[in-house]
Amino acid sequence: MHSDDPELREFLSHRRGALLRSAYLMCGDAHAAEDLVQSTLIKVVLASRGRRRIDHLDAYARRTLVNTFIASRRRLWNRERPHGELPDAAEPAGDADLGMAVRVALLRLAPRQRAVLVLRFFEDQSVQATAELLGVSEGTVKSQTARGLTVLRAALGDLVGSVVDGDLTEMHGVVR
Amino acid sequence: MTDYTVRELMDKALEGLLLPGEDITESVLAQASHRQRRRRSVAVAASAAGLATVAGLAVLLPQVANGATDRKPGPATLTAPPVAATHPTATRPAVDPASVVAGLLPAGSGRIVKIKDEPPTPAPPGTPAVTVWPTSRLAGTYLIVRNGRTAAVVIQSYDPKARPVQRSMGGDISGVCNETPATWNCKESNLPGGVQVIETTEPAGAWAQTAGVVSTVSVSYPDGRFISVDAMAGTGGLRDTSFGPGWATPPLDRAQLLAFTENPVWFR
Repeated sequence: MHSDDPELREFLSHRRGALLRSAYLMCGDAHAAEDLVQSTLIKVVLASRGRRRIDHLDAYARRTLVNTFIASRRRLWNRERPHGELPDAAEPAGDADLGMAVRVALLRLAPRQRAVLVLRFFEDQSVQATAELLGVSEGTVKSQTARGLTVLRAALGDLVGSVVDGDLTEMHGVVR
Repeated sequence: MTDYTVRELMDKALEGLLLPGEDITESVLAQASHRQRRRRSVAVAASAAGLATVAGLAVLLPQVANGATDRKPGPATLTAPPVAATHPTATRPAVDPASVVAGLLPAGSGRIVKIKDEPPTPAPPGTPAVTVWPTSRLAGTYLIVRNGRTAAVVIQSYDPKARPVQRSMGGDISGVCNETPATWNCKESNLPGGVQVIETTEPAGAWAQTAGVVSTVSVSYPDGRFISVDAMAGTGGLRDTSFGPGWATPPLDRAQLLAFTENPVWFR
């Protein structure tokens, strides 16, 4: 039996919930999110047992999570098909409807765009940190963010207005 | 009207998500141990299989090179290749996929090794679990090893007439270039006969952190057949294990990759 260090054990038991929330936003399905998180945690354990030292377990796990998610969607038989034209969105009547509407809207984004929005706005990562996590340029993160927000706004219809320009948008992605 | 930040909207999307109460720490550690043991046994088996593959290539390569395959890159073909045979795969003559791929790559590309397919991701809840993973006999991931460096080609194909029927992979690929960053150099072509071709070249770091430059050509035929080939300079992100340093460029340039992908051999 492998003797894993206490820091790793503590990470596994305490960070699963946070990873699961991000995974749920990306997958749009609780079961798929649990599978994604489990795969991610196994990869983290394997990496920590390998020769490479992991200085920041949380950042490593986050990177593994998004890359595993995007890689799984790259397989053609799992490829999602973003909608070319969005149907008219009905205004949600309550919070539960709003939550559902947001989940559906997120699923209309390409997987990488979804990952970018989750990292930027849910996990509050900077453009630079998001670019490093995804292994893409900062310009790509910015363009994917802009496209993702446009799709979100279109999908949520009258519920949200135009994206507010300026520093506030850059920091918090405010939609009206 | 209520103002929401994107974060607030995402928080709304999370409402109702029940976080599992059980601690899976021991389960994750045990699964990791299981996978480590499996990797070690596979590594031992692969050493023996590698020797057998090299011996097999030495016998089969001349046959492929003298066959109908063409090593030279050519212009896009304007007609669809013949449809798949409708006979059960068991009646087909045995063929070594790696030797077929080797015969289509430029001479001197290196040693070709087909690695084991990954299982598909779990089926969505409520749908039957897939225990058999039907796929084309030539589809898969092939390593190209030369001078201690490893590149790869990943071949995925779908033929609705194949038996057993393969899993659908989408079909309509029009408009894909609108979703890709400008840096991917995406080109969409509509060839006569309803054949659609998408070509992309992703810069290093876009496909995966350490995959290097990746070129992809996808061809969609009007009868539903679909073939996509990734030519990867490196192998980072393909599997959990490392296959060593990659090449400086993909093993095929775009013209070569297009000719490779359009070869009718994938649907025979």
